[in-house]
Amino acid sequence: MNQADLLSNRSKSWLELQRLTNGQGRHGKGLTAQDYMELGQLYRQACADAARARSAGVDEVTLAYLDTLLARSHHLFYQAPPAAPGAFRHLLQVRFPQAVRANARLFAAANLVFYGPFFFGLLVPLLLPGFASALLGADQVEQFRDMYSKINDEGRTLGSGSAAVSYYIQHNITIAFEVFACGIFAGLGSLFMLSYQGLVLGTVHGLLIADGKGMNLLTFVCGHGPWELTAIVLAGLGGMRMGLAWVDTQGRTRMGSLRAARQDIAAIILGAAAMLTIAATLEGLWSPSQAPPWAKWLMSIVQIACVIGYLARSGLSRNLRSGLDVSPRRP
Amino acid sequence: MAALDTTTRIQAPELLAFDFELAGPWRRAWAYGLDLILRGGAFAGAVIVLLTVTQWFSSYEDLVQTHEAFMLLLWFALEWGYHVLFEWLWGGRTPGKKVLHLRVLKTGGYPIGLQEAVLRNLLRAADLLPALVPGSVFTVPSYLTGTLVSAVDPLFRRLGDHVADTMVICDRPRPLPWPREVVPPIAAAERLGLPQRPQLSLSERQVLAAFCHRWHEIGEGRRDEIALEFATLLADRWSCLLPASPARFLQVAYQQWLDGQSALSNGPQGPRTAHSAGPP
Repeated sequence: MNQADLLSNRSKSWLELQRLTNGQGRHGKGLTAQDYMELGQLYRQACADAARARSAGVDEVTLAYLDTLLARSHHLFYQAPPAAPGAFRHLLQVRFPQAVRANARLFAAANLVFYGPFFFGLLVPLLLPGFASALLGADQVEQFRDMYSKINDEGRTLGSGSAAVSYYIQHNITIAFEVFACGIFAGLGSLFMLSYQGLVLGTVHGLLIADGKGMNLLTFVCGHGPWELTAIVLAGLGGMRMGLAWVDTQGRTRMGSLRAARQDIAAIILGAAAMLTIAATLEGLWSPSQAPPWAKWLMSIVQIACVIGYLARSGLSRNLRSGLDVSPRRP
Repeated sequence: MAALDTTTRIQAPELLAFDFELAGPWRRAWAYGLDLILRGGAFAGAVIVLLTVTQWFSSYEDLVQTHEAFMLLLWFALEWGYHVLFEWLWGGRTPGKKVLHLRVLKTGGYPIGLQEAVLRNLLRAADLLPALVPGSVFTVPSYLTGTLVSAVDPLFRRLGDHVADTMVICDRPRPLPWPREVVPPIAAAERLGLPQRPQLSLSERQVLAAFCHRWHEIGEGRRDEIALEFATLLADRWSCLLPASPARFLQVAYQQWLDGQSALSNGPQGPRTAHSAGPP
């Protein structure tokens, strides 16, 4: 077949295909089932046309036209599967805890990276009173003192409570995402940001303890800390996993190594975000409430048990690692 | 196509490879800017509505504080959720990408899912570094890291694309390059001296086709300038007279070749190839 033949015989069905890829069906606006049937046929025919055109030495302009047409219909023909219902629940219930357990040693390391500087920051202000203002700046120190010394006394109304929840969601999850994203730099960004967050948090605690208001702050933090601190460490874990995949390729190419770790990385950071949403809700509504301290501490112990139980046990019964996507396995 | 072209070849299951046109940083920056404006507009609109509504109920203090909550959540959702949700649910496109005909695909050429959308957009936090005006409430992204990384990648992938194994392509629909109108119509006199069925090599055909398809993109004087050398060569070969406009001569020659081809397959004695009945 020569060029003139190809163009005159086939251009009609190319135009038909073009109309379908623009989302215009034969009847009305959207594509009907019949349109999709037709799409498959037209697409495969156009594929054959393109192959023949190439071998017949058809000009580049026509080839570029066919390539674009094929690219557009290829996308329509091989659409991503729709998100299965329950995909997100499956992620939180099975994939996330499984991913954490699969990286248990790295998780332990991430905890060390966070809590090491945390306890360092906790102790130093007790010994060196100037340390906190040197690290955080005098203004910030005053602000923290002011904010946290009477944090349990005021309680929250619906309005201020929801504002606080939103603030904590926005602020904390943004930090977690940044801790995670910086892990792409061979994991160093996550290491730095995680330890820095630990240091700052520890220093604030040390500062208040040195002031004699320590119990006040701790009673506040214990109300949501188990979720929040664990989630920040988990965001760091996601970033470190990503950086490690880049560095320690286990015989794969760097891209291949990243590709192999991608499932775990995505599950971990999404799970961390979900945990931070729980933490923010508690931090905005429960932690500053006027509940008696013993209730808050009791609740804190329950939360610790929940977090440990969740990460250690959830998804155990479904030992099979899930397939390629976030969609749940169908029975 | 040539290695210098900004395309990537995809192997389709139909035993066929075809080329995707890649989107470079410049086009993507425009799409990002457009999305930024849309996000800003959506936020501003929501704030105005919220402020108006809370004005009506200003005696309820709780409600007034709730609007702050809404605004913060909206800000957060627009900052992190906008790109993820659109790219996930809208076939790899945000509104800005749709306007510029860009699309995010897996590097294998297939549509992305939630996982790819999440990873490539969370990694924005690394791609946008270093932030300009650090310490201000609104970080102003420079996207220097992402630009540098994508500049050295043959698929223009930024860090987020590397992690999610995605790429951004441009699939602006092209008009059917056929039938190509020849203005003014070719007179019989212009074909005088040309062979009935000109013989052209593949590369000669390619040159002629490219030239004729870009006819209107090139200025008139420049057209003749470009055409002169090739037109002289063809005129010598066919020992015909080169007309005043070499560009026009090439146009006519190409048409003559095309007509010769149709005559070849439609003529009574012309051999028809086995496949001309159309694909199975």
